[in-house]
Amino acid sequence: MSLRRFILKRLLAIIPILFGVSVITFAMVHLTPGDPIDQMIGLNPDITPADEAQIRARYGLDGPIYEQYLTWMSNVLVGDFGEVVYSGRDVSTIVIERLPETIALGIFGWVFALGIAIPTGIYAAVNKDKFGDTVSRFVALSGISIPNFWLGLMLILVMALWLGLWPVLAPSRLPLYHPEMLWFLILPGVTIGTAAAASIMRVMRTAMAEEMNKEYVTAARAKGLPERKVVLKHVLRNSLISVVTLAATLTAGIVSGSIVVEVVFNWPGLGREFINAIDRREVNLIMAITLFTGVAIIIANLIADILYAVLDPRIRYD
Amino acid sequence: MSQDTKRSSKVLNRRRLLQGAGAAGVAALAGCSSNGGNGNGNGGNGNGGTDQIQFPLEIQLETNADNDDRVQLVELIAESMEQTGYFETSVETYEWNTYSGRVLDTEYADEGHIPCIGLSGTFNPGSFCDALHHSSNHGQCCNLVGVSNAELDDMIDSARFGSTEIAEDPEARGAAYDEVWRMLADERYSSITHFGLNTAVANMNVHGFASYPFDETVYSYALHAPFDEQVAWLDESGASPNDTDLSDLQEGGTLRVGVGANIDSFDPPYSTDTTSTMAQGFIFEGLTATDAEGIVYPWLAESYELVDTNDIERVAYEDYMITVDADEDGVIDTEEQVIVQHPEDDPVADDEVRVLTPEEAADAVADDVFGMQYRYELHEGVEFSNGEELTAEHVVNSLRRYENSDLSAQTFDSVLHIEEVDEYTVDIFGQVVDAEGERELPGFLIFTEEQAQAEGGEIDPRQEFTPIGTGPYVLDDFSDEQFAEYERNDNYWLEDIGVENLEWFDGPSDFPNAPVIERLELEIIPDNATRSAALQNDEIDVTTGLTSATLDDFDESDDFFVYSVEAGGYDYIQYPLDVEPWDDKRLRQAVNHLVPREAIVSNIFAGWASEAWTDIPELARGAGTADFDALEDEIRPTNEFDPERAAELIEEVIEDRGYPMN
Amino acid sequence: MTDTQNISAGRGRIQITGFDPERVTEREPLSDWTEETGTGTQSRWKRGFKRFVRNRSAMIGVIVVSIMSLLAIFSRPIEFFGFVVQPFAIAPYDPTTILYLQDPTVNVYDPPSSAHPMGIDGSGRDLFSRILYGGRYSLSIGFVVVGLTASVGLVYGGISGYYGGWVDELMMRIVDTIYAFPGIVLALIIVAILGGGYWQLVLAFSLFGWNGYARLVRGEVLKIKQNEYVLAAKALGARDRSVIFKHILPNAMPPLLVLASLSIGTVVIGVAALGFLGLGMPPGTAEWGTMLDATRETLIQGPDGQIPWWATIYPGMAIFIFVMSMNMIGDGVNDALDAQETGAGEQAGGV
Repeated sequence: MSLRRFILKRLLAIIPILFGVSVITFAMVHLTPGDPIDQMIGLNPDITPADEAQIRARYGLDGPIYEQYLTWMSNVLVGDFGEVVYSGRDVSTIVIERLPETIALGIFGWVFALGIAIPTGIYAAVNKDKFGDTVSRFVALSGISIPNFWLGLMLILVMALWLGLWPVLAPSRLPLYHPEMLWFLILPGVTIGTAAAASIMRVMRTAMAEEMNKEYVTAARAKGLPERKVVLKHVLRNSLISVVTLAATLTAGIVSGSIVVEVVFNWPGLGREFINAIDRREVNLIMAITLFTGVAIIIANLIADILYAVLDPRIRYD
Repeated sequence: MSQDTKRSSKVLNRRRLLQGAGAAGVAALAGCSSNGGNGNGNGGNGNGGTDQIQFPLEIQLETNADNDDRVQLVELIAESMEQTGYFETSVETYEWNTYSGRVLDTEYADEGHIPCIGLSGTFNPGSFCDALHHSSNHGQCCNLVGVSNAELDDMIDSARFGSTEIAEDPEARGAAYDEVWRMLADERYSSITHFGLNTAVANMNVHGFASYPFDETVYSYALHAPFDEQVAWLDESGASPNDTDLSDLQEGGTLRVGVGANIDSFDPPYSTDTTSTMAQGFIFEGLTATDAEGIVYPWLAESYELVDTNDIERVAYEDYMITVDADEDGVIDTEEQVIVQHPEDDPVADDEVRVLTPEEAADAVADDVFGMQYRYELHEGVEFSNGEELTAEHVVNSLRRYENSDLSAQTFDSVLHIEEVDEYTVDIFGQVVDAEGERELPGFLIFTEEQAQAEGGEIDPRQEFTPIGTGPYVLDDFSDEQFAEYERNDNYWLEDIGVENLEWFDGPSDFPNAPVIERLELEIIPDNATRSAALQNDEIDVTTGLTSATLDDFDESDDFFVYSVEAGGYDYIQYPLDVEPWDDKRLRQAVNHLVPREAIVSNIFAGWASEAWTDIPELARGAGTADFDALEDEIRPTNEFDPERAAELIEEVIEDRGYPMN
Repeated sequence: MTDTQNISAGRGRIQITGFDPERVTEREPLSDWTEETGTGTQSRWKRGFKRFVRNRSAMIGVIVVSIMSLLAIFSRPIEFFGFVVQPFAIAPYDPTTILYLQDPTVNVYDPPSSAHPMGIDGSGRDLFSRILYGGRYSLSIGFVVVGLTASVGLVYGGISGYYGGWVDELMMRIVDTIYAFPGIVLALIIVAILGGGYWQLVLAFSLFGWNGYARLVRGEVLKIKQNEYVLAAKALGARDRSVIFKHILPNAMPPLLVLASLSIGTVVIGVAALGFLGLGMPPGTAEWGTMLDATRETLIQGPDGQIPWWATIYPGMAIFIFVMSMNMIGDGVNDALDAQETGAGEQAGGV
């Protein structure tokens, strides 16, 4: 099978998953006892049955559940996620407005994670079982074990308040692309990236150590190639394959991390919006963000699969 | 509690009545409360018979989650109850929209929980007894537990409506209210916990600032209120606001205000929350204005007078009423605003009810059937910021825009009819003689012609419809959930007329005719802590509603000033008197003795509040009592923290009713 | 079919690289236990146990977790239907007692002192007592959720892997779908619908939490299924049930155990995160995450205000130490049962 066919096949395999994701998103919100309209009517004595029918029709809640799903889905497919009751704004506008903030945070988290993890992983593998390795493993385990919202609180407490390196909040009027914003991305970005960095470092170390035991390395060493060259040229390349795979799958971690971290740092991204939506029971917004998250993760995983297939010569596509 | 714009937007605001609050719950996730409307009672203290009730009594206390102080307050009361050994308490919190929807549901009264919520009243003393206890406010703001006491209803009504004697004699009115407070202290349907302070914290650049008892008016009042000779300005020279006065006044500058909630709407009749009202207040004005004591001054009206009163009751409109259908839920089948509903008809029980709509109201007025008549002479030459000239027609159409709006119930609880007399004169008629008529009848804002015809909720920059008023500022830019920016209205009418030409103005001749600050920037920062940080980082100049625990720090600091005034509101809990054993007033009195009012003020609010020894906030004490001190002496003992007395009362209830005690 | 498995290897939040059948066979056999499956199960467990006991960091983890559990159990007396089953009280105060009601000298946010070693929280309660007691929520939810999800995942994955074909296809599509959501997102929605509370949290983390185990077990089963002794047993006419229970499941257990021990930390962090967001236990509950809920506000004080750092540091510390210990145990189990390291880190954190 050619690479192209492999990708095509993977793309096709995604379709039922996308369908499943939309069903779960919808069902989570709608298969609960009662429905949003009941609650609305219960509170407002001015609503007549005729009004009720009208409202139900407007929210697509007037038919059996599968019809409601189809209504919702067909709207979603043309980009209409409905509106937010609280302010009457389009859900899609809100998502588009908030998304760059979260993406910026995610990218920063990624860069931080990879930038820290790969060198540390190499160092740990090369110095396997020495003191430096032990320390870095301990730090990595801590990085995985620390709740990210607490890490965020601690960073604010220590870096911003005790050391006074940062103002506690980003200037609200500065656009995201303003260079100064980079500085304000650091704390939340580090918070989001820490767990990923720790995971990647661990995998990097393992993969490297594994790779270095392989015959070709021994052979290369025997040939008298300098250790540095062996490590950087051969071992690293092969070890990065597993990191790439893991990195893409960790997207889910970054996405879920953004929810809590954005709340901690009051970052105006999609994650904080999700919590607001949950607080206000904004069904349309909850569904949109959930669906969006699901799709983003599916795509990230797809990319991971493809990268994996491209990078690892041992993988055949059939 | 309205120390907090975030928080105070989480106060049930009587003035901006919450009849439409249901709409906020539209998208409430179904079943979000496990003990929702179906009453699948998990408390065990449902509506069952006596045999199910046992002590320690299980009871759930509830409040909104987003107000930390209030959550602490509820936890404290719950803990105080728990420690007596007579109660097993649990605390449940809900997001504000869910919570307000929940407690404003009439069926909530049957669930047997103790809700805690905040009330923001008005200068009308009645707002502090009527809202919580009048049976007509069940399912609205803020009779949450279905208090329904015909005698009390009558007492509350007659302290305001229907009698010229009450309307003209403050002493008699105060005495009438005293009776209400006494009855409430005895029946103890609700426990008022504390009166908050409305605090604004500003940096040293803000000079001449003052707080106001109602959050929604703080800034428009502080910026320019000639009746109190109030004006704020910016002075960046580093001088302390203590050392400057009106003679140091400087023009211009940008005031950066941190507000605690999004501006949900710019359409006054279709918004009920504090922040929206505040944001609208810079743009729109009314016929009259009210000073910090509640005294009314003519504003867009050059003058007004009470032309006539008739001591009639609402039954007097019987002959003009039309009959309309009402369904089993009490929904009245008419498109028109119901101004008066026949007092003897019950829309739930009856198939038909007799009502008065605007058309018939006009007929009644034509026959001289009305309670009171106020005549307003408008200033001539007042222009809206778009150049349109204000006429009587604007006033008439503006009031009509309140028909069937979110604010219709509170508008038409007293207003009967409005009529254009000539181009600059309007008459507003009241349904009955209303002691609050002077304040309440002109309690609406004036729109341009186009706006007066707009759909409900349409006046909003988010819908490409910029609000336009006669006010001192115009909206310049708005970004949802981010900021609102205002610029001075270059065409402000008062600058043409001159404040010294207002008949009631007796202040200094150099008092400015308009706010002197050039621009306003409202930064929307919902989080209290973030707002506090923004103030300390010099990103905003002034804000309200900071956490009380931090106010001392600001107060002691040389870089900030705390402006505070007792708020026209309070927090309260209500007892589920429809559910046994809470129908026994001794039990309610007992729990009232378990509310540690002093600990609440000192520990939760760090002293930035005062104990509610009576039900009356300071601003209502003048009109709302004949002799406040005597009343406080009388009522205070019933409100003291006294676990022993509470235990005695509970023991009495247990014994009398034969409840088992485990 | 094969590429589906490659896909499995590359997807998902939780991924045990070492256990992926495809990659294990492709790779040089680093581990020795796959070869001896079935033949020496008993000795493998024994050897594993010995190795585990020798692992210093894992043993530290065991000791810390034990101490924390004991402290939680003995923090306050436990009653069942009026009978005191556990009379001890290590914690000096009840976790919900508001101290200033009785003792006006106590104030909110009093700093740590000899009477209150971790200080007083924002509602006037003794933080030390709350930290000790709080373990009851986090620890028990962690263990209950992992127990439930591992069991469900074991059965689900077992069925899917053993029967294969369209059953497997369908069941794995469901798993794939759930994989597309971060656990915390689903948990948040469930809690938003059901409200907070102990069992609601258990459900929130269990309802979809099993799918990592399911995928893992399925992979194991597919691999074991090909083993000669299983093929032999089937050829000899052994019934499905006995093949599953006698041969396949016992062999799928070690990786399951590794994943389970590593997942407890994830669940505890997840519960705490929901508590922090105000969506976990009711406010005022001595749950570690819920205790952190109000502290974000306290970090920003007025000018020159004192930050009550103890209210932020101690509850977070408790979560961190517990999760760290659990992860040390998990790593230890992994090392003990399988010589090669798994991508163990990937499940923890990231919440």
